[in-house]
Amino acid sequence: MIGRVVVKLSGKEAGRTAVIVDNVEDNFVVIDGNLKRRKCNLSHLELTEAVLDIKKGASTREVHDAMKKASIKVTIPREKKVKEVKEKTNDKRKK
Amino acid sequence: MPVPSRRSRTLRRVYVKTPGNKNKILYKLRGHSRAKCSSCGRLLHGIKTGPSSIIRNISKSGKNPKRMFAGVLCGNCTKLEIIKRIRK
Repeated sequence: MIGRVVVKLSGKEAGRTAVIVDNVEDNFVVIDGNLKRRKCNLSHLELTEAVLDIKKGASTREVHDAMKKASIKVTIPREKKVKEVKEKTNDKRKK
Repeated sequence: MPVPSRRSRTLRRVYVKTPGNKNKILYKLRGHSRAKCSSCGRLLHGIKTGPSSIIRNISKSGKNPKRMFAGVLCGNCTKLEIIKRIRK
């Protein structure tokens, strides 16, 4: 099951593609991809034939990379790395 | 003669008999048809209807649900529509 590409059928995210990341109960899975990572009932999903190479419980970044390799569009922007702010030095004044 | 704005038929007329045994006319808003699913014809939930002056003041997200095909298809028909497109 893990790595299977699915499409969500109900709710405000209907029509968006995602990947199964984890199993929770018999009928529930954790999905991630073009939506916020969430627990979802299998009856609200449509399974496709494609299966991606993903470990169990993979992070969103890993899922997005795997989706790009399989040429599935990633519509959600990835979280940017926060740049380290350099502390201003007062060297010039000392001179 | 009634007021000029009351002479047009935009408002519905309701004839009422008062306790003093007089006939009076009340002017009320006309009913508006509710939105239906275009494929199965079921009434759609969560869609505001009424005169445009009232709908204008509702927020954009308050008028319709946020789903795909919202305001056109019901939830069950969107499900079938998406499945049909995937399996092609």
